[in-house]
Amino acid sequence: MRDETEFINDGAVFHGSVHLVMGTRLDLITCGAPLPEVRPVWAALLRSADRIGRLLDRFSPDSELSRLNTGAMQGVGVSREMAEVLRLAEAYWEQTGGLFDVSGGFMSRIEVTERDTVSLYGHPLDFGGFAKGYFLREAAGLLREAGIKDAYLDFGGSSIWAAGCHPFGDCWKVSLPDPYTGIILDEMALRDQAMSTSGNTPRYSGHIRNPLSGAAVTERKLTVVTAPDPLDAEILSTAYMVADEGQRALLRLRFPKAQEKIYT
Amino acid sequence: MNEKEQMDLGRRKFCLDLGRMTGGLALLSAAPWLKACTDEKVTATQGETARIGMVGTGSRGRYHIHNLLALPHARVTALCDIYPPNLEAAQALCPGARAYTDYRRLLDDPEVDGVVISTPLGLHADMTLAALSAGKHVFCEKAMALTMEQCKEVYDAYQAGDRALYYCMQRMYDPKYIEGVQRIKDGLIGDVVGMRCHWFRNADWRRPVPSPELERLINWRLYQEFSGGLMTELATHQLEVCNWVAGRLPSEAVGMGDIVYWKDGREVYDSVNVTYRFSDGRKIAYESLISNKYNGMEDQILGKGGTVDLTKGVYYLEEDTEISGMRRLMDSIRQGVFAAVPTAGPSWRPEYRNEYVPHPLVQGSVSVNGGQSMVAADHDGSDLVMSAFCISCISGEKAENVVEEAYGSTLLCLLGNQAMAEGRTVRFPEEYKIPYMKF
Ligand SMILES: NC(=O)c1ccc[n+]([C@@H]2O[C@H](COP(=O)([O-])OP(=O)(O)OC[C@H]3O[C@@H](n4cnc5c(N)ncnc54)[C@H](O)[C@@H]3O)[C@@H](O)[C@H]2O)c1
Repeated sequence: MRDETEFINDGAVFHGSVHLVMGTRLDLITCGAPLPEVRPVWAALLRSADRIGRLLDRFSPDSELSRLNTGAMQGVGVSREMAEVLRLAEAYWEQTGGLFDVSGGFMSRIEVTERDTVSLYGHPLDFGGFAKGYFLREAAGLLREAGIKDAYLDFGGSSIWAAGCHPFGDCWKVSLPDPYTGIILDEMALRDQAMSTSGNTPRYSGHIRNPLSGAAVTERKLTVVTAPDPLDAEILSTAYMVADEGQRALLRLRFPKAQEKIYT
Repeated sequence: MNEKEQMDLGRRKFCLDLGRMTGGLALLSAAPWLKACTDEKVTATQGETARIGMVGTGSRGRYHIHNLLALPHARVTALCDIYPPNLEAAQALCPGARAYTDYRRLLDDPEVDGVVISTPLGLHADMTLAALSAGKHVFCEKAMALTMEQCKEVYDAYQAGDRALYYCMQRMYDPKYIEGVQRIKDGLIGDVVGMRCHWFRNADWRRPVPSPELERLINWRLYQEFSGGLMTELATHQLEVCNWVAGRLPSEAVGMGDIVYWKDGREVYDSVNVTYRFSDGRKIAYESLISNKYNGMEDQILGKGGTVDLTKGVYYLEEDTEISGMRRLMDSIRQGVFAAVPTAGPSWRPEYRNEYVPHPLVQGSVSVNGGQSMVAADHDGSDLVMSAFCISCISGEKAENVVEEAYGSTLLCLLGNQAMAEGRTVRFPEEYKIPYMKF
């Protein structure tokens, strides 16, 4: 992991970026916070990303997740955090009526005991639709604790935490180009809000599967979810990709603070 | 879980889990040989075992034994090698197997369904032909054979018979290659305009020899009677990938080969540069050198819209929206403008063209092989080829296109060697074209 940092506008604006973390790129912009305050926060964010990467990165064969997926699949002792993450994923699975499922449809079979042992019974887990939100939730907390009010955190271009506002505006504005045509579909104003997008592009389609039916979503479709909680936004952007009309109503009921937009 | 379920689970690890790959079943059209190792095929062979005889139990042969021991549907019943230390080492791994020093005796053994040939290249053709005519299924190491003539002979014998024949071209079974090739065919990087493959190492390619008369047996790679050098040992894998991606073969080759550094009596080049040209002008630039390893091993597919490095399982786009969105935002802040940040979308041109961001090709963990080992890398697909072979030994089904792919890439290696030896442009010879090939 190699990061780059820069200060612009006479030091008022900080930009840090790093790739590859969890297979993608992470950018932080903060405004108005003095250098001695920003540096340790950026370092803490990198440490979190690194820790979560070692826990959940699908692209690293050494992550705890990869080892869990490729090793014995029954009664395996896992770290405390891994067990907590699994419980969290299970809670989301319940809340979304099974639409969000890190095991791709087998959550009901997976066991996590109180003594932090896990049985996967041959069903490997994928935290691709979880890890970025999990990180952003923690990162938002770190920024808050450090007293940094205005910050923009972008994880891979598809998961965003926007705290406070842009140095020359009263929020952060995000535009959403249609991946197929490049035409701007929408512009959103975010303030202390997370945004997560999920969808198919001409280059990359069919990577999201409905855990209930096993079918891949191959249609031209883009979902955008904004929510005060980055992890909610992350989970819901995947869940809305596969939800039908009735299931969408359920998601709206269960996550009243989140707002979704679906483009087809 | 009862024992049977456990075994079932173990076995499932040895078929390709297409369900978890982005391309799903569509991948079978990009890599039709995988049809031999789908979930259904594995289930159909439930409870049966392939009885395997090993010919050649040197380093690669023993690596295959380790893979075989992990397969629930395989049992090593016979071993053969002419070099006692290697035979003994294999016997230690498979205590129950019968041992032979003449491979023809092993071929007579009725308790052998399939034969795994891991001997020096110069022996591949004779051994494969004898095994096929003895009615055995055959798994042979790459390359196919030492001469074009031998390759054609093996190909014809295979076509005429009903036995399965596999070549260990493990890239064809490696998830990151399979998915990568599928996505290239789906247009990930636009039109493919060229390919660059190289393999660099910094080592003499020798093995210690206990006594001088064993030099040629042990260091067979360095002598022309057994080996085609870097082309047949390394380039075979990479040229197969190029053919696979292009869906056709280059029609001519030109190159230079030399012994630059390891002037130790060897007969094969330690430095090769070969350019292959397709009929439409696209080229494969191939390079291998074994006295500097800075560049490592790479199989790069160059497209108008981006580049795929299949060895690492990543791709780079010529125009990358991820970078440009943040660049746009920073520029607007510098200028004191309140502008929207464009999120993931294809509409931006990046300002910094050299800032290529690697994107992973495959979901889940991938194993990346640095190419420095002379024996093998773990989970590089070799285990899957072996599993597929054992399934074929049980079902009797041939694998689609495996022999054809091996034939094509081996011929290109030999064509490259010919171009270097003769110092001229050589065309793919008409008499060695087979119906499978497009030019
Ligand atoms: N697919 C791959 O990535 C890969 C990797 C390494 C090697 N290989 C291939 O595997 C093959 C063997 O390579 P290796 O590195 O194991 O070589 P090696 O020298 O370690 O082993 C070859 C063995 O064959 C035995 N042998 C020679 N003549 C014989 C005969 N007449 N009958 C029986 N046994 C005989 C030798 O005694 C030796 O034990 C080669 O074709 C090589 O290209 C493939």
